[in-house]
Amino acid sequence: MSRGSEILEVKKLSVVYLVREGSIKAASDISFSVKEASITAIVGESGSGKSTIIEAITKTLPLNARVLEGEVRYRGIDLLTLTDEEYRKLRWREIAYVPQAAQSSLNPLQTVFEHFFETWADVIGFIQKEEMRVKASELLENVGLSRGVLDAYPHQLSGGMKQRVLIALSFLMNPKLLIMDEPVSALDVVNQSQILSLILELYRRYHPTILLITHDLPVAGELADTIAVMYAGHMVEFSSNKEFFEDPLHPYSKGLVRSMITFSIDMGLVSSIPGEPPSLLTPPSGCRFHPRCAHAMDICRKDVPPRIEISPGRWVRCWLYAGDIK
Amino acid sequence: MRMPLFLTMIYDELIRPMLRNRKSLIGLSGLAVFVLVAVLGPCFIPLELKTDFSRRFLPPSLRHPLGTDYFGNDIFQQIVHGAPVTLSLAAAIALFATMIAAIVGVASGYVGGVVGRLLDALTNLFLVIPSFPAMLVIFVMLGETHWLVASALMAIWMWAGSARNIKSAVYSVRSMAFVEAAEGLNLGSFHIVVKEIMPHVVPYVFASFVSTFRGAIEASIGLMFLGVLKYNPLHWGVMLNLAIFQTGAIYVPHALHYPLSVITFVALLLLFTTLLSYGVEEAFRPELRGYE
Amino acid sequence: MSEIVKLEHVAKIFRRGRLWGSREEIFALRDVTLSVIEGERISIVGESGSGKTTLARIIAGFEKPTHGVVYWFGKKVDELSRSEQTKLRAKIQYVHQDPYSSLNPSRTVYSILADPLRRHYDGDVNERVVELLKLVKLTPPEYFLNKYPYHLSGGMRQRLAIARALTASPNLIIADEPVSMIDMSLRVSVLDVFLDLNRRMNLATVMISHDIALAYYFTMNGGRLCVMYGGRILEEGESDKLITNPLHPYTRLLLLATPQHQREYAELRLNEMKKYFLPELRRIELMEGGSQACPYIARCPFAVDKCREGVELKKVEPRHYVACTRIDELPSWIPLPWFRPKVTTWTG
Repeated sequence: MSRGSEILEVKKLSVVYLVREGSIKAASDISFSVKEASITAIVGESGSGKSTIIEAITKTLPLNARVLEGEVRYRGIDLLTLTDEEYRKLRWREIAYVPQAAQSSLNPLQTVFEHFFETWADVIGFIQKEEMRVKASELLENVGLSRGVLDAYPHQLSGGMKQRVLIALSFLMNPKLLIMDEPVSALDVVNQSQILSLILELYRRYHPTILLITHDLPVAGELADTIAVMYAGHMVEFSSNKEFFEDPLHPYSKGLVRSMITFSIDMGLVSSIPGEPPSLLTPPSGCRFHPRCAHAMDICRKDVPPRIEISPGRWVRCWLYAGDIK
Repeated sequence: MRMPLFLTMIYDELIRPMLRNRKSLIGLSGLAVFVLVAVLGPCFIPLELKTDFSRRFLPPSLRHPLGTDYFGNDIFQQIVHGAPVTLSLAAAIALFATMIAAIVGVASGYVGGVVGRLLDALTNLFLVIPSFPAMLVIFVMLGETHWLVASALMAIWMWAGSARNIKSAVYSVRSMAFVEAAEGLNLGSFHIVVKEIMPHVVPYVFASFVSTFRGAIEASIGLMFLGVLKYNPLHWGVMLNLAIFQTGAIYVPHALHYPLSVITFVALLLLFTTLLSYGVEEAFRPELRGYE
Repeated sequence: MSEIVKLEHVAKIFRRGRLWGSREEIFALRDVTLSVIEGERISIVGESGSGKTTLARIIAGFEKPTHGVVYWFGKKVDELSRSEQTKLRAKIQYVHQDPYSSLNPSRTVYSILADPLRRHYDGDVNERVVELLKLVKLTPPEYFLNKYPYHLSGGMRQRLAIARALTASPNLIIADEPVSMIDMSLRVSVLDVFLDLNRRMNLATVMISHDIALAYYFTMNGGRLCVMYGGRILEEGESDKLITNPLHPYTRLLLLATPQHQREYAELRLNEMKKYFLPELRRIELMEGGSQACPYIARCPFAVDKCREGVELKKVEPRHYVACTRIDELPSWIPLPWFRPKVTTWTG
């Protein structure tokens, strides 16, 4: 696998959640690929479906989820067809998942060291406790924590520290693909920036492939090479970081970029996207953004736009760019 | 036809969850049968109480579906006529007890402070003292009492558990932001309690009523079975007492149908009310649910 | 220009623990003096634990200070009779952070507005409900009247909460992190409602936020910004001045900690941030008791012993106050390449 080739390819992935009232079309026809040693950010607001994609990749879909179609190919292997046993061989060693620290991802009854030890024991097998201590201390140091943290219980750690532990844990077996779920949400600004620093540093050192999901566009902007935008279960734009902010293509992307409030934009020009995000139980027909889109045309109401490639590696799902393919 | 908002809310909030939950559905159906029998039965089935010892302890037959008792009277007729008696007494007790529980619970949960703590202490007192023995003592001492008085006296020992549940429901709603907002807008205690808090507490009050009803059946039948409370000879508790203690039916092998029939109906009634009670609790307190 | 609210040397101490045994004291506010003038826009910025929410709640009357005085419309609150307090309190309204628990799920939009209107408004209640919905841009109003909160998105709910606050015709609205639980693309619509009301009705607004960029958006062009930490105000003044000339190390830290969106400046921003930040908390026999010390001591790279003696807010230029004795020792605030001064004046 050379740098620059696709390490992860998602093809036509569609997932629904079955609920009493019907089915929630959480992710429809998702296709994208992630280049090795790159940082890709999937950006989406609540109900966009970004978490569903991650759940499919890490095989953590809830019981009421159904994968209607699609493939998730990691180095050519379709993860969706693997059994739990087979996936276990990949978990931690090749694909590591860093959950949100805010959720109870750490076992409150185990110390940090025990987390490291058990993870190793589960995946690889026996290891001397002393050896593990050395490894774990090193990893903790890498994320800026002292080795004293090894013997702490999760409730004794602050949010920022927990997030770092989770990151350190994910590096235990030097995975190729790191999947990060909202790595800096629920942290105060100062901690956020520290974690961002950390991620960039670890990236510089080890060059893993990072796939992160976030609702925070500025964070995606500071970290990612590639930005993928999710709206109402569809992936509507996929583009390099620079091209995305300079020239967002999809009307939703434009709206999103215009709604950012940071010190790097002209605050006099900030604006909201009118309307509200749709229900995924009964999503709008055709392009799901059409009820809120100032440029909606007849065809937008009828048909879901296809992926239209603007340049290699850059595409958008919007009829405005269809040219004569109408 | 547009239903008044109030009725649709009752349906949505109270009735539909009950119908959805399996336990409560079964319990409700079973109880409905009992209620139906209690209401309509006496209209269709006469009560012939004539002592005729020649017909004593007759086994179940077409003429006497459950057989006859010590006095030669048809057991089935007595059961049917005893149903409204049994159910209405338990309902009265549950009603009184739930009213007390609601008042104490809301006052303690909403007012808080010293009053709240006093009411809590009172609630705890009644919780700690065992209800059944207390009722036993009271009725032994009191002897014959009017049934309303008896219900009230029993209700006194049955409100405490519900009061605690209602209080915690009120307390948790009270600390929600929308109640604070209502206070900041000077909406007044009456409005806040009745319009903001009560709608969220009603399911708990209802669940309390059902579970108290079940407890009241147990308690009333129990007291009458022990002969401590004499009320109406058709009450199933009294029937049980007669069957087992007064008439020696358990000593007469071929008379077993007599106590057995009463026991069966009492057990079925308790089964359905218990199922209903659990089901209602699950329906209205999601934290008790298992996997959906 | 009259003062709506004034807090004078207000402190708030929460005591945890039982009636017997040890009691832990938490100093939510140490010594805060602040006034809000008619029609002002103020934003109070701080991390969680800075005391900003406690401050907001004391202004609104939901909490009473442990020390210090609170004035409403020029009168001392604890000298007011019960009925006077009730009357005045309604003129200072509070919009909660969580729009999912601040609206009663079992009442319709109409009732949520009509109930308080019946108490506070003399005219036609139905008409006023429609007017208020229009004011907060929940249009068409008729569509919303019989909806329940669960039909509304977070942004709409928050706007409904604002409409509800307006039913009492308040002079001041306090918004506690009004958009932190709302999606980014919908935030501006809620903030703009506040800004619109502030301009149109001269409604003074205090906005609590942990995000200094949002706080600036809200207060630019004439509003005030207060930066809080550890129960004290460390810097305050006209927000335009604070943002272009931040003097307290903590203010600078907050500004640098706010992500901007350009990758090429990420490293620079994160490196600059390190200058104002100690990686590990300095172990100082801290403040339980020594409550005069600057609360930022434990995290400040520039702290010296003198900082333990305490620090007052001092004027450094008109409408700009800082509570720090070391501002002359700070590195220069280099023109940060991504920092764009606002180019367009907000016209609404």
